Amino acid sequence: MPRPDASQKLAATKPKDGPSKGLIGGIIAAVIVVLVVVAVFVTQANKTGDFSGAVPKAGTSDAKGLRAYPDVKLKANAPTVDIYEDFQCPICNELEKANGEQILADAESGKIKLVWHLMTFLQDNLHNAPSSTIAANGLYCASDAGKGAEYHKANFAGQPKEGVGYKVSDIKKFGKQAGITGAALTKFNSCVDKGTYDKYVKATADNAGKAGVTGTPTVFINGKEVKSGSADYSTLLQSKNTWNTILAKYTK
Amino acid sequence: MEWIGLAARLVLGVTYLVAGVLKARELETTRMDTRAFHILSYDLANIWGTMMPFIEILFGLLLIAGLMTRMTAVLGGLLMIAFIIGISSVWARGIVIQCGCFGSNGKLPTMAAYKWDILRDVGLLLCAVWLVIWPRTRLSLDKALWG
Repeated sequence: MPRPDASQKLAATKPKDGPSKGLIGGIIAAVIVVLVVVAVFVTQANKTGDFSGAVPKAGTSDAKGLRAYPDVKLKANAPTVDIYEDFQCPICNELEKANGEQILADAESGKIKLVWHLMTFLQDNLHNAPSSTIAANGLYCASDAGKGAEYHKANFAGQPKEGVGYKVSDIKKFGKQAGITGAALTKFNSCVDKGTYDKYVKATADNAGKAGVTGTPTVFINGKEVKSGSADYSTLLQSKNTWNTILAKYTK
Repeated sequence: MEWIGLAARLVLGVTYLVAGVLKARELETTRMDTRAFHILSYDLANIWGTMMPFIEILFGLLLIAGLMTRMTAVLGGLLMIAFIIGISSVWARGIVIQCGCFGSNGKLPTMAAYKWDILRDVGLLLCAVWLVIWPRTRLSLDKALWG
């Protein structure tokens, strides 16, 4: 005698299927499409090339920094000091307070070639764009008027509480405090209003990222980084007038 | 058991959702932080930094809804493992992540937080592992749709 057919009973005890293969496949395909689109978008956005746009007088044509005191004749074997900073960064202001004066003095005397690289990521982090951009543009405008160093000082001295950000009127005030007067001041103000160097600001910030800089302040002496987190770095930021000691150590 | 699964789902899901939204609101910073790990090349780090927040948001939503729990838990767990490896790697190399500017009031960034970051991620990884082993949970779309 044949055994009774149990297929119906078996079917009843079998758990229901989960999501169908088609659904899973569809979702995976959708995710892959999104990933590819984003990848293409980001790579396109980062396409580099030579910089084209207005270049401030003391800046390099490829948007890799702006010299403080561009007209000063450098002493023989003067080391290059690259400082990456954002005018909104309070720790950069610590560096400025502790050692800004000594660094500028060395640049003015031609003992070092001081190059500023202004970054702008804090306007993203603090959600107050274009605060960092207008400040960086302000430095470039002031540099054209021959008052880059003075502007740099005035801007840090007038740094607001973190997150408050800069208004165009603040930037103009810093220009005046930097000692820009007369026709030069009119030109400076229009440069600030127009955002003459906005493209240069963006290119400089992008190049800083490509150079591997991921925070501010970052200091390189002759290409050697004073590493964030190191004892030297803390010294530079927290102890007044320690610049020349650190400089000597890194140029030995 | 299924209630524990629900808790695991919500803890992991809400974390992914919140983290993803925070990162998506500041993509520029997220890309820079991703580059700061110095693991991926400049372009790859930017691509990853741009996509990661949205992947996290997707995982978060799927987990909270309880949709395709096991698959999401597998992928979410793998992502956690990647984070743990990433943090261990920068810790071992002595790299300080974060610009040290955000709400720090003059305090320098340090590496002190890394061990807590790793501990947190291990906890989240355990949630994911639980869901991979026992993907049936209370109040899930999986259950409503497929029993």
